[in-house]
Amino acid sequence: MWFFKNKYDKMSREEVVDAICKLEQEEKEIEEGLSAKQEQINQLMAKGKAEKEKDVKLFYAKKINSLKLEREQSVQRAMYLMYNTQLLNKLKTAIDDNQFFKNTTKIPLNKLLADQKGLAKFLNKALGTKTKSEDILTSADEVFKEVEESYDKNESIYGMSDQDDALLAMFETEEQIDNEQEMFSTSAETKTSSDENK
Amino acid sequence: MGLFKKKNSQNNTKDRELISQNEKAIDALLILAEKDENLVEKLKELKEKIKYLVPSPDDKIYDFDVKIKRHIEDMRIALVKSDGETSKKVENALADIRLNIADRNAKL
Repeated sequence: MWFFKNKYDKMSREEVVDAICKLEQEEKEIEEGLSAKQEQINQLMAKGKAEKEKDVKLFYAKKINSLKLEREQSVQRAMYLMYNTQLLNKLKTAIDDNQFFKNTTKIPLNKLLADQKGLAKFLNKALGTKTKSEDILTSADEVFKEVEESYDKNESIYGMSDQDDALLAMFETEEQIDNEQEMFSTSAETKTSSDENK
Repeated sequence: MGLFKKKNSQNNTKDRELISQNEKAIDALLILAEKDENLVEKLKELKEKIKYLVPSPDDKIYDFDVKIKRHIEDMRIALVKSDGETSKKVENALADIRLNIADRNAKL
């Protein structure tokens, strides 16, 4: 029934903000009034204490009690206003949320997400492309492996000839002699130093 | 062609009105913030920026102006609460408005 439109739909954010500002202002006025009343009470208390005449003392007492009562009422009003402001702030947040979700769904890309059939088709297509690309890579890798496996080292270039072998053997012998000499000189040095210590 | 122009100007009017409203709303903020000279200066600067925004028939641009309006409203609440002095909320709203103006101009 379109003609029974919800009252909240008609309400603008501006109206809520105005109401919040009004309440905040009232709350602040009450708060100021509270401190003024407290000051007045303190002054009357001092006067009451200083007064010697009983009737005037009673007058001050009655005035203080009346001010305390007013103060209590003001505190209650302030608390009510605070609660009211909190609720209006919640309402403002709700309006913002509503607008936020409306705007977000308006974004063209989000509209696209609503078309789930199209999305499934696109995802399947992307998956197909991915598998196809992976297949290409693995086939290429296999080709690499096949080619590498079929390769035989050229012995005349990378192999060891008799001359190379002889030279290597000579290197090894020289290295062994060097090591032995080094070991011998170290042990001789240790012996001399121990003799000197004795 | 003439019809198209008429439609555009009609849409422009909607945005132009919103820009004008935002400008007036800054005036209200200026009254609230009159105790804080520094804030008054910032608001005056902001008012000038809003005043010279180019109205557009584009809905996306209009949305930016709506966002600016909301931040101005939030700033008003914050100013009433802080008794016209700069608070964290006021600073945040000010920064958000500036950012929205910059984004709006970039999209235009």
